[in-house]
Amino acid sequence: MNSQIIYESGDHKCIFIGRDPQKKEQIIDTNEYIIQSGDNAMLLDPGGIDIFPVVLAEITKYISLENIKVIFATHQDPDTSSSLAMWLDLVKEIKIYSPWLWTGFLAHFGMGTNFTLNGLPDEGAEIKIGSDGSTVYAVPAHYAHSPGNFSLFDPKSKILFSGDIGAALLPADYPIYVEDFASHIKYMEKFHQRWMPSANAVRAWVRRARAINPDVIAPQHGAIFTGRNVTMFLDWLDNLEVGKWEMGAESSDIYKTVWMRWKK
Amino acid sequence: MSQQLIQFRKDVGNTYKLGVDILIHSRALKGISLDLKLLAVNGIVQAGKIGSAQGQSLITLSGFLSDLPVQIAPELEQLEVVTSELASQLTLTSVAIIRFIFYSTALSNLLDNILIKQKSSFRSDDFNLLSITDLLKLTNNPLLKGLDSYEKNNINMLAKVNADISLRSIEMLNKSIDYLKKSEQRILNLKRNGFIANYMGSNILIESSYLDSNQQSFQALVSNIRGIVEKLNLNLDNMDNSIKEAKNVLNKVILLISNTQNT
Repeated sequence: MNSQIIYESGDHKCIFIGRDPQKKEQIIDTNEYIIQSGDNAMLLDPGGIDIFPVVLAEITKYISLENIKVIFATHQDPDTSSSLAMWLDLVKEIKIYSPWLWTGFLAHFGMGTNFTLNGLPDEGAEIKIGSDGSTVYAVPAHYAHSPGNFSLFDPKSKILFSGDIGAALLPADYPIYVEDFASHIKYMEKFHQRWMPSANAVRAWVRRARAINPDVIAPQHGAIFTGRNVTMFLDWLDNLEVGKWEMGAESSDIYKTVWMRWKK
Repeated sequence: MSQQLIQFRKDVGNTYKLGVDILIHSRALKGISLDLKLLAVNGIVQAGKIGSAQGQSLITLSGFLSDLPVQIAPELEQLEVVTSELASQLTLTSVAIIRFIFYSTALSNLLDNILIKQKSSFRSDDFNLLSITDLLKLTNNPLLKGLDSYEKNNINMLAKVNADISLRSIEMLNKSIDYLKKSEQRILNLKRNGFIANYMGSNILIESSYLDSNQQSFQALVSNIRGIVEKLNLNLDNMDNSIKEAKNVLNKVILLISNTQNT
């Protein structure tokens, strides 16, 4: 597993964890992030249960585990949070925030652990990292891609942690930051066309992101956008046709489809 | 992941499968007591048609036979309850042990990171991460020198969780063995009832051999009884084998954890 400090100023740090060279091939690569504010830390989308041991070991290079005060799950997918119970068994005081829509579903990752999920209201919320840490903001990203979905903005680092928005499926040796936006498109285009169901929702999120005006956009899969690439990404996303599936519009060949074979 | 943990994982997966096997065999026995009851009623009806002293003794024997399902039915019900509790206990145990494996792997990765950073020639495999005693004194281990305070905290936290889960796992493994023993007792009771049914069948066959007529219907009755008892025994033997295997695996896992506690 690789990791890197992507922002540091005083006692405020943002840490990237990802690009695990030893991960099993069938598991999608994920990025985990830590926002460290003094002795308080927030873990964003802690990842799936299978990668829990490596993520944990990597985190311990930077922080004391007992300093993890908050876990934020952008949405319900297992690659974001099926390890929740493992974290909670380790640090019982952790507060978990997730979209309210998914709290009952995420509780299925409990594995016998008692945990309470703090459901975030649709309009978003501010979240304090521990008792004396800084405040971050849950920004609505519903239907981009999940129906209950949030990005997270850290005003100190000006990083917008975007969840699956901006995600890319990359080769293992790809740099952590996007270097050439034009050549990066091919790694994220199909992902967005398929995983983002609503153009309206995506456009609304782009408007929110422009209003926030982040320095960095850090997705849960793929590479991080900085500098000019932030604007280029938002412009590209604003014009992308999403919710796209080649066979979405039924044709006269409908009876040749797999799901109509029973008719034969 | 150490060889011990890999073996652990295999064994745990195996016991989970055995628990489900035992439950499936137990559920396959449903209906046996009803089949036996119907046969006994059939015996009484056949014997009633004879109307002689011989008929009376066959009625008595069939009457004994018809009492057996009354004893078998609750035994079968209890067996299903116990085996379903066993399957659920084995599942919980598997989950606890898989968690233990994840935490143990995390601790081993953490130690490797620290040892690599310290340019040490030792690695996590040089520590006994399955021993509760060793886990609780891990940060005092001479192989880990010059730890930062947060490295110490992290190791202690993970080691404590591992030690707790290890203890909980032993408790759960022992509870699973208790359920296996209870299942074995139920199987013994059922086998005894199967033996009695066969014995009654043999007596019915002997008694009916003196009959001038109707011998064939009693032979068919006895053959059906034997068929049912055979089916019963086959399932019970399969369960017995799975139980023995599960006991072996669980004892092996307990021994592995307990031995590592003493090393």
